[in-house]
Amino acid sequence: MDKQDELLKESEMLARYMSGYQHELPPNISKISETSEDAREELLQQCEDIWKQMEECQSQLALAGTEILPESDVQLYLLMMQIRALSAEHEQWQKRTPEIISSNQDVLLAAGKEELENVDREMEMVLSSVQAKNKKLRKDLDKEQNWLDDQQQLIDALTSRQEELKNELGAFSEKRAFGELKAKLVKVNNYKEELLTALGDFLEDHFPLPEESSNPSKKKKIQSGKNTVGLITLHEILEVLINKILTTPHDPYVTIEAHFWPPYIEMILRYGIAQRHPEDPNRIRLEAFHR
Amino acid sequence: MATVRPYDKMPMLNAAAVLLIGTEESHREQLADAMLKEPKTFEVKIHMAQSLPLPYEREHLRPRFDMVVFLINLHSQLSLTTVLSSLTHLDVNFFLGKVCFLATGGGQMKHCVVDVATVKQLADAHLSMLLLSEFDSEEDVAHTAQRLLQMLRICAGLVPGISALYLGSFMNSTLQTDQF
Repeated sequence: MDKQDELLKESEMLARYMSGYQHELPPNISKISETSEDAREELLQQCEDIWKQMEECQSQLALAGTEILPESDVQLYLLMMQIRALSAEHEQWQKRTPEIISSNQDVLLAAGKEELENVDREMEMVLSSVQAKNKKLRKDLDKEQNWLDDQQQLIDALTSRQEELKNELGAFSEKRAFGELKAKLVKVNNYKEELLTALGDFLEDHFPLPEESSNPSKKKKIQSGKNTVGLITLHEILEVLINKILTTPHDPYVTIEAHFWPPYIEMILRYGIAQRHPEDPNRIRLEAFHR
Repeated sequence: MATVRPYDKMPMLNAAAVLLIGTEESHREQLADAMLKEPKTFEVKIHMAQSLPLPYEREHLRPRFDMVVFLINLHSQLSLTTVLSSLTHLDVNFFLGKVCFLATGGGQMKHCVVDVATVKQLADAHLSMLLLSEFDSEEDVAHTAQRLLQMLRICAGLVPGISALYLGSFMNSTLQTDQF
């Protein structure tokens, strides 16, 4: 429906324009309806006269006889002939004066109308071609204008960004960055200490070293004999594992030694904190949580 | 055995006649067909012959020739010699612009027996135009036909204000500068 409305509006505008200049359009050139017989007779008579003149000239020429090319110096001979012919024609042109084709009104009118029709046709062609050219030029102008606007917007955006960056750069000072980095480092270290102490406390509370039952029996000696290996706490086991993986990431495996308490080993293995070596069951490593 | 003369008969109204002379019949036929197919405002009569002089028997049936075109095939020496011998049977007055030379086959250099320079010298010596063409494609033939028709219009006097004499001004100066 929108398109139809647009079409209607455009046709209205066109009609308005047309009514505007309708009175300026020239009336169509009417074809000559009657030609007087006199005019025709006169023209035919003129033609007959010219034909008779031609016949006279031609009979004179026929008396002249034929000439053929000479054997040698053809070009020279022909050039001389050309000179003579051109000078003769030149004389004829000089003698002629422009004259009206006929003094008869009808003939002149008909000839004039034909000329006007030709001129009218040519003018219309010129008009349409100039209009087409104008349209094209206008379109090109619009395109270029749009392009220019886009480029201008781009320039504005880029200059503002450039200024922003300049400001930021100016505000940067080395000392401040250094100080900020130092503070960050201290904060991170403190946090690390906190975490480690918290871990240590937690492990102490919930995973103490296995103490022999306070059962004073004759087995004490044997037990103490067993304990002469010297178990280390879970905290320490974890510490060993962490240090191994952080210091030598290419070889994070730790061999299980006697002073690791097996149930703890079993526990950390089962809960995914550590992994066995795929080929050697006696080696374990810490799960790489930091990757 | 009459020589062809330019002004021995009355002209036809709004018509022109052209004489094509050359040994290659196929070329003549092609050119004639193309000339007849072109849109034009005047009538064209085309006569063809192998060589001059034209036989005397049909002299009264021939129109006045406005232009003579010599077709030279650069691949055959015979066509050149025929044309050279025909030139002597043409009235001198024809050479003031009513003669045209048409050389064909200049594109294939390895088959050219006749040198283009020879033909150019021939055309220059006779103060006539030389056209070069290939008769390979329809377009070429049509193009050559258009050019010949334009020249024919002028030679027949159908263009007001220009006579065949002025066609000589379309050619380069025939004098070499080292002749001075």
